[in-house]
Amino acid sequence: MGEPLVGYLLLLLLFLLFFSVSLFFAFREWRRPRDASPLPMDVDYIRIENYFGQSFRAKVREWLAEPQPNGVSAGELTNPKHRITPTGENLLLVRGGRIEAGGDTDEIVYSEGDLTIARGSVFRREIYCAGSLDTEAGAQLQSAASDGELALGENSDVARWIDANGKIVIRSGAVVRNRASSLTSIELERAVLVQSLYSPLISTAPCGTSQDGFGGGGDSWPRAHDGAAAADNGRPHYLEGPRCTRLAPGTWLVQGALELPAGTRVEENLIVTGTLTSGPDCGFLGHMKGARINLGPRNHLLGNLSAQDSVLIGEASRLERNITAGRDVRLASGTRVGRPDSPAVVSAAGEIVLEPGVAICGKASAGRWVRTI
Amino acid sequence: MAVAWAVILEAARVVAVLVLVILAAYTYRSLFFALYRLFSPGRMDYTDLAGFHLPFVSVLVPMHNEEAVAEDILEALAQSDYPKDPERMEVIAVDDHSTDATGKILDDYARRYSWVKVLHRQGGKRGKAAALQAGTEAARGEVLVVFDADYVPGRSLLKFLVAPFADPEIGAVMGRVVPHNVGTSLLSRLLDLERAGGYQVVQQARHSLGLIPQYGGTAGGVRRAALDAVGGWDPRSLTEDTDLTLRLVIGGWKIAYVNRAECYEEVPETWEGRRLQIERWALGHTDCLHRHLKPLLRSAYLTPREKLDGVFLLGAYLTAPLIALGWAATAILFFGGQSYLPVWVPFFLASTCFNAIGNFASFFEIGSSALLDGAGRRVRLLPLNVANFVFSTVTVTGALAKYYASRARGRTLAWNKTDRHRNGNGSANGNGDAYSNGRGLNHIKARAAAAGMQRSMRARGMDS
Repeated sequence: MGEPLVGYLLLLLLFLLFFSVSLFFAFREWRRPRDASPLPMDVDYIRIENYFGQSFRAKVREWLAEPQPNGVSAGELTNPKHRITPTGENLLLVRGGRIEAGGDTDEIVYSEGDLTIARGSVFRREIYCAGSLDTEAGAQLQSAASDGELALGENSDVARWIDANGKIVIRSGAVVRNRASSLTSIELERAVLVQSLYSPLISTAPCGTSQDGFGGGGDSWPRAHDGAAAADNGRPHYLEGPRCTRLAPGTWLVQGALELPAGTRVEENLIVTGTLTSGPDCGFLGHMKGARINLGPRNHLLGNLSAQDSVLIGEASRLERNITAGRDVRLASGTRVGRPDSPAVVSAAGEIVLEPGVAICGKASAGRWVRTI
Repeated sequence: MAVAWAVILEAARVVAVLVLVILAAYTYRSLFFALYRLFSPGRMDYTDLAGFHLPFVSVLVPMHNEEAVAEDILEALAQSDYPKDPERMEVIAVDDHSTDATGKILDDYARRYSWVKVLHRQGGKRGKAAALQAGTEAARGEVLVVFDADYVPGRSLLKFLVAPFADPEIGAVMGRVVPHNVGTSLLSRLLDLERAGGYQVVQQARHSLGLIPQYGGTAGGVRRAALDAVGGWDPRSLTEDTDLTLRLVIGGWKIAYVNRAECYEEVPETWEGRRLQIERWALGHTDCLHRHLKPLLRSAYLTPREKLDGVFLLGAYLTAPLIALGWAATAILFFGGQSYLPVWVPFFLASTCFNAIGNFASFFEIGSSALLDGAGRRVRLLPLNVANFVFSTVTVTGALAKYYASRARGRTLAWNKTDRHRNGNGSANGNGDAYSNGRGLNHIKARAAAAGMQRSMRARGMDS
């Protein structure tokens, strides 16, 4: 009887010890709170897609407006002026021109005019160019904002973001590790890696800045779709084979895979638990979801497209609204996403691969990379 | 007598084992969710689509005697960046049998903003589900977003909340709820911790794992076509949110959770308010268990994993009486001389006993959420959540006894409203008592901003 009793007493003591230690800190926090405020949440937050560039520009303008004891202002490039910001950082003021390679630059650079950065230069802080900014091959930048156009040289590497009011050209082999944004357009050459892009027009060479292929929905609707499908007892012809259920009027759930023959016209929202494959010249009026989606060439989709896994879009297809994928998205040559008057998003948790001649009006955002081939 | 005692002991043994098995299952589930959130990347959550998918939204705000808060939520919606185009957004404020100035406040807003419509309900069944049903009949939107009157949606919340509806399989979307009246009482601080665990860990883990995130009835949206397909709101339900969650998933729809769609809410500050709240939740939830368990298990649209998660979800409130039953059974076994512990076991049991009170599993969930939110300091308060835990266990056990008694007598259960702690006739414009008492919209924003500033100073090591 004695031994169990000792055991239970030990148990009680250990319990009380653990409990009282944690309660001590809890009581202290209760009586003398050190963190009794709500979790911070910016109620006024509004998403701005080119926020990095906007906020950096605003900050630099604020710094430039601060008076300096020695009256420093932007000077000749051969004799650049230094300015100390209120946060103690160096701001290098230049009028513009060309910065030759000559080791690393650890200062924030502000250029009043057009600026060219020489081959292989390394800038460890941000650059703000009030004119246009052009980097030659192999430059390494932290971030860059330009009020004019911005061209990133071959094999350049940007650690964070680039933003321009004018057109951005990202040349072969260049890498932007965060966001590239432009108020005008972004042109991507071959073998470019960017984490995300935002612009009224994002295109891969040789598409250039052309807005061809973004015509209105009705005028370019492939003729092959007309009358290609009809309903039978509420169930469209293309759903006669697979096991499917109508979730709501105009929304069908297909359990398993679904293959749509060439020229099929789908007027409903379609949810496919397996792989959805379509032949050439199919048209989709509603929204579409599948575990995996492989669209054939010249497909036209008016609604949104979502896939739990990957999405492959056939060449010269048109998708008027958003694409989301749990893994990768590949857009074949000539694909158009969104419209100039109605921007759209291509979003993938993995990689977005853009073939030549692809154009997106809006945003492309990848968990890993947006990659051009 | 001896035979009866032997039967009692045997029954206690069976009950204790049963309770242990069920609670262990919940424990491992909580642990798994917390560890998953701490160490696994989240699933893509549609946030990239915010602002690019803008369906026609009808915002429904049911209100019963909400003069203290009505103005704040309408003002917050007026400041929303969702396009106020007549074909993009409308707000339907439902004045549900109010006897205070709620109706007048709503009418004033309807005069000021063309996109605000007011429904005055003075007849028919009272309660949130009935009010929502009336609002839904008047709504024209493709997506219905619901807010309780005490909520303060941020300017971009609607865009984040409706983004997942670009996926045609999504029937409902739930945002994250964050208490703003933290620090007004110990209870509000404990509930803040509990909410963080529930959303940052449990809801997000369910979403990422493809399970069943719960549509919470407020700061959430539902697709109109999906709602109609499953029969609309059920006015009989005390927890229309759980009821709808189950009907949607059983009917083949999915539910998404968007952690980024954060919204401030007011949590109960008094234990009596808390009692009424969890009593209603327990009654409604258990009613859902009885109505939806079989259809859930038979649904052709759900995977076995989803079904298991659904069972856990439905049975959540049964854990309280099970714990109480477990306490009783183990006490009987202990005092009945049924302990066969070797001497060295107490050391092992000391830690498990401590954990059994709650410093593990569900508390671990809360601690993990504090880490994920970067709010490590508030977690020191966590052991005091034992009080909340015991209080909930007792209240839910009592509520379920009431539920089964009412069920046996064939009676329906009454709906009760959660108390609001803001006062005065609205406070959005910063005038009046409510503002000076520090409970208005501007005050909430200021507190949130101050908390953010404090956090960033702490991160820079500038905290005194």
